[in-house]
Amino acid sequence: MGSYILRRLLIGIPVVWGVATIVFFLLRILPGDPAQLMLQSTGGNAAQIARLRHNLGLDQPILVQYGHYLVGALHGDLGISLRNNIPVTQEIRDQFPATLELTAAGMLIAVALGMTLGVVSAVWQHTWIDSLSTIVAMFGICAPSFWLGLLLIFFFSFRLGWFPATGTWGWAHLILPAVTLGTGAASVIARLVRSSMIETLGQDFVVVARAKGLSQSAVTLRHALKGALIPAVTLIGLQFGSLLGGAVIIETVFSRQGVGHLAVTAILAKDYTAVQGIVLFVAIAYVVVNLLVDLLYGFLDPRIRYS
Amino acid sequence: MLARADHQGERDVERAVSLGMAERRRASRWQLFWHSYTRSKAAVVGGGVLVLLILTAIAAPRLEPYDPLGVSPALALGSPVVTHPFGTDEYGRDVLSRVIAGSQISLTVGALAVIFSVTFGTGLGLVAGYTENVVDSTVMRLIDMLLAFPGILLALAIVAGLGASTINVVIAIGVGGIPVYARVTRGSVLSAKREPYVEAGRVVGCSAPRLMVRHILPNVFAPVLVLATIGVAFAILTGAALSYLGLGIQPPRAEWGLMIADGQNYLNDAWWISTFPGIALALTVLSVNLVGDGLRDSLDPRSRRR
Repeated sequence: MGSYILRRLLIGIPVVWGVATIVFFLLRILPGDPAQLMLQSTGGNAAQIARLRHNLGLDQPILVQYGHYLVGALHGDLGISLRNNIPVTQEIRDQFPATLELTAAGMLIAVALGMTLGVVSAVWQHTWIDSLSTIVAMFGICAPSFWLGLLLIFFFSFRLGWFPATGTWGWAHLILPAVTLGTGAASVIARLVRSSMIETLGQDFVVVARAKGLSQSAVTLRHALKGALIPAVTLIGLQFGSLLGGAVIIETVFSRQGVGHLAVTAILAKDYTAVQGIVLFVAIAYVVVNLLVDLLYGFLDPRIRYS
Repeated sequence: MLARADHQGERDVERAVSLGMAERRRASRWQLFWHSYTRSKAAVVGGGVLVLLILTAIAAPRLEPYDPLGVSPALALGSPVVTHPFGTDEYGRDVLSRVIAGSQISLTVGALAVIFSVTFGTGLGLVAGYTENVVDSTVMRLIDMLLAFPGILLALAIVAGLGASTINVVIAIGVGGIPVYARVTRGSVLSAKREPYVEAGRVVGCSAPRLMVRHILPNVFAPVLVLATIGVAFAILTGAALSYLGLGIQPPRAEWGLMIADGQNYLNDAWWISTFPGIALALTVLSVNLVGDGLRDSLDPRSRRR
């Protein structure tokens, strides 16, 4: 297991380096002068643009900029936000807990809802329960998350008054955003669990369990579900990474604090440094999550770590 | 001479018979696909709805009852009535007309983004899979790094650099889709290049580009086509999400994500402004997904009953 962990970590390092490199060059090879774009709204003159370019280090050779950027990133220095003149790292540190809370809650709902829908669909295959579950799952996949969030706000906040429509802290402010975020992932998980369970329920060991006289719930939950879990765990892990990206939209819908909301604000304000730092941070978090999923997968399935 | 003519006649008949059999074989492959596709009611319904949506988008200017950009302050925030079945927005613009106009933009953005992804992704995958050398390794490492970005984040970063406009949204979404098509194509090419017909092509002197494009690509395109169909759904949703965030199509153009964002401020008093574009968006994505599922099941030989 130790060598498997080491192998995965070693593979992860060049991916993280590659992500950092792509983020750096992405915002530099695209057309347009960042300093000019940032001062566009205030109408900066040539001298102001030149001073801003110097402050940002944009007047230096590209490889020198790249070197400073990598060294800074390794030390946790992602530059200074131009909107409010504070370190980007501090901005992210202040906002990330809210995003993490939302992502974790969304994941919890996705797993609970997705597993339930998937198991129910598989056990009652080809019945109205299966059809209803499929329709709910398709709706979750096809409905845009921002529209779903607004629907939930309309019904549960404005009409019923059960939950607040906006805000960040407190469990009441978390329910609607987490349900919105988790619904799409729940639908994907439900479809996979359904097909995985159907395959497992057709296997010989399930027939034996039934022949031994075990109840349907014992056969399903104690025996069949375990076999269906391995592909589901991989998908759940990957969905966690996707939820990080989905949080960008949900935080805007519900006016929540968070890294996603920060990213959108920075982009609209053309805060070049902040955009670079936030994108890098979220991308690395995504790589780390996928790495942890790989390690968990290797732990659950010995065939993977010995292959 | 007469005997030679008889032999020639026999050869002509044989050739005509074999051509006819080939024609029947070609026809039956499409028939087989159609028969397999139409077995799924969901795929048929999805296909029908999608065709309707495409026709609506094409004929949008003729179908819109009002000018989608026409402002009427006196009619602002009007609820759905017979003259305005989907109500009016905060500027008195007819929501139904804007939903119809929005279908053009959403479907165009979705289709163009996928064409972009498929063109570059398939090209990269074809070259990487065929060469299997340092080019392959370089391309695949680059793909792995692009795949390290969560879905919408890469699109956001690109739009941040390029600026918000229709073509930039297409590029932003398109770049994000390249890795998937590159990977799938490469995987298919790796096994296809070992087939006898490829070896035969090399023996008769086909150049590598000709082999890749004329012979290998048509035989590996089926999974790409299925992915592309489902990719259109994702591209439409991402385009709408970018517009919702204010980073995609700009006002006053009628785009579904933008309309949902505009309606958010009036959700309590005028729920229809956000609701109908959302329904249109969900319906479009659903129909594309159903068509994609139908294509996948039809083109996968394991699911086709003979």
